Amino acid sequence: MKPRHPILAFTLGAALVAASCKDDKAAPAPPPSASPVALASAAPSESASAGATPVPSEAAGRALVANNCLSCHTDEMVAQQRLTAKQWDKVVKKMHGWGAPVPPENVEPLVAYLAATYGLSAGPYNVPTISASAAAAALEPQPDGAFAGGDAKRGAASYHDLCATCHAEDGRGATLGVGLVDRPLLYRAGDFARVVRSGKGRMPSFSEASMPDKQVADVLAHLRKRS
Amino acid sequence: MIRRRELLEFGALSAASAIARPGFAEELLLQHGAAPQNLATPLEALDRLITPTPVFFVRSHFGPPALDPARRLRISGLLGTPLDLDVAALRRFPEVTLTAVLQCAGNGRALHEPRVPGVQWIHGAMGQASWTGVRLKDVLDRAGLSPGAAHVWLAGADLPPKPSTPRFLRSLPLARALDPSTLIAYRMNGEPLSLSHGAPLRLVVPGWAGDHWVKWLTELRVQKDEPDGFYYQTGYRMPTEPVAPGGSVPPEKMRPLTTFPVKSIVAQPLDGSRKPRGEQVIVGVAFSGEKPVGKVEVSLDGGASWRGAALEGEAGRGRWQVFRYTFTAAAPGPQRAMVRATEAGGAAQPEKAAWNPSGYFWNGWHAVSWEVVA
Repeated sequence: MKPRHPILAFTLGAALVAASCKDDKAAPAPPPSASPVALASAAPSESASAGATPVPSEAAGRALVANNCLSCHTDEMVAQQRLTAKQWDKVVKKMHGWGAPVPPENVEPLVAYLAATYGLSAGPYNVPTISASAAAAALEPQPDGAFAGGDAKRGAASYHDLCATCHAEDGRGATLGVGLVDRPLLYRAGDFARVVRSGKGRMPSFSEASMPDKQVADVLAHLRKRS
Repeated sequence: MIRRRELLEFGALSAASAIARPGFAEELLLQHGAAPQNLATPLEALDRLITPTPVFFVRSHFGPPALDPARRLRISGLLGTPLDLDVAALRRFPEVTLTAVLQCAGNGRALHEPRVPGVQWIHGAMGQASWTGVRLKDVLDRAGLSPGAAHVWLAGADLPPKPSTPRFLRSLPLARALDPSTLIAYRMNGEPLSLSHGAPLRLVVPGWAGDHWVKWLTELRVQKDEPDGFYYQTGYRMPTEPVAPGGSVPPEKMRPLTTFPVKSIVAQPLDGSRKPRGEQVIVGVAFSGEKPVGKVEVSLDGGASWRGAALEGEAGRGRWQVFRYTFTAAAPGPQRAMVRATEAGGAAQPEKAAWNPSGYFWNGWHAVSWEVVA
């Protein structure tokens, strides 16, 4: 299947299915209390728990963030925000419309956790640093190593059996899984395999027994060919 | 005279440290996002005319596509002859190099009050580089515009994470597309574009906010109307009239943002730093997307009086100059400097930036406080 015409392909409005493969992934740590960059607004705090929804426990809240936000964002994107409950509610609904796999019953607890943890009273956010060389290296192609020599035809069959339910037959992502075609990750076989072995967000992990290295290599070859 | 000599030596040290800065982590970026990468240039690096590529800020909505030097650019729509060009074919057009500021529309978002969602950039979502490429005008002239052509839609190869996520799509009014400074670029600071800066091709639109500088450019479409879609019809819009901080604005009173307003930022001294007594050097950059900078002024007394700073580099629309102001602090104690820039025959930087719902274009006076020590 050919990719859709890029400029025509900005449709909105996802059908969202509540399904959870995992619920115990780690999410961003709460913000540090001290920072050289004082940014917090002096506006009064708008409590997230003003309504009926209790604020989930730290562990439950972090799981909600991991499952519903971190397949597309890394934790800094969440942790750097300082928003009211009303703003968080709007953000979560916008992201839900864009494809965040938040089950309806999780929306209010997620908003309550975000507003309580990354609200106006959360204190300043200390922006972490990264070396320029590490930032550049994160996108550079890597040797395939153990994942070299994959067979795209076999990979297509394996992809269909193991990946397509969440990532879509065309590899462009669906309700649960993110798009996989035409990404730097496809040329970083070690990183790709780490996601397969460890899982990510709602994605389950695949052991060597359920998806041998050879099969990972085949799927990679298939996805590269599709890109 | 000994005293004067000491001051001169201090001055020499300060000037040298403004360039070499022993201990300055030259190669660090602020990581507002690891994946997709959203990386800010450290404030200390905003003291020079050209921002080194390794510390040049990176903004990406969805992250880059795979590196593919053979990626093609397709030009279609209201044209006599649609074009489908690879980089080699594009390079047969006359080559142009220019220097221009690239600034994210959301630079300074974290400084707007009340806070709004989005990447919480402080000062570092901007940099100045030399850009090499070909004029978009030359390419469109080759294709031949048809009657009714009014907007040039821009799309890159970066795919959103899900089909339900809107594509990042921008558009230029035809007049800006035909401006001779609008380039399809393949080099930045003399080197081929890196993947994070848009390889193999990106747009360069001097004076206009970074959202127009589409990376991994694969498609130009000449159309009669503006595009639909979130990133054009909702995102990257500014109120058409002033709005009270925290207020809401109806969609019909929002318009696409274009040029960034006049701004100056202090790179040194850093807020909260300590400096030896003697000569104090305040250095930073000043620019506007609309006009060349006319003057930069410094106040050391909370805005009661202002003195002109020296400007370095070439003046121009969408181009920054380095400003430098030197004074002597004979005694230890706290110091505070405020800086404001004014366009040549144009607007002055406002004390407070105009709040807007998406937190764009923060350009309030930048104030820094430091301690002069014995």
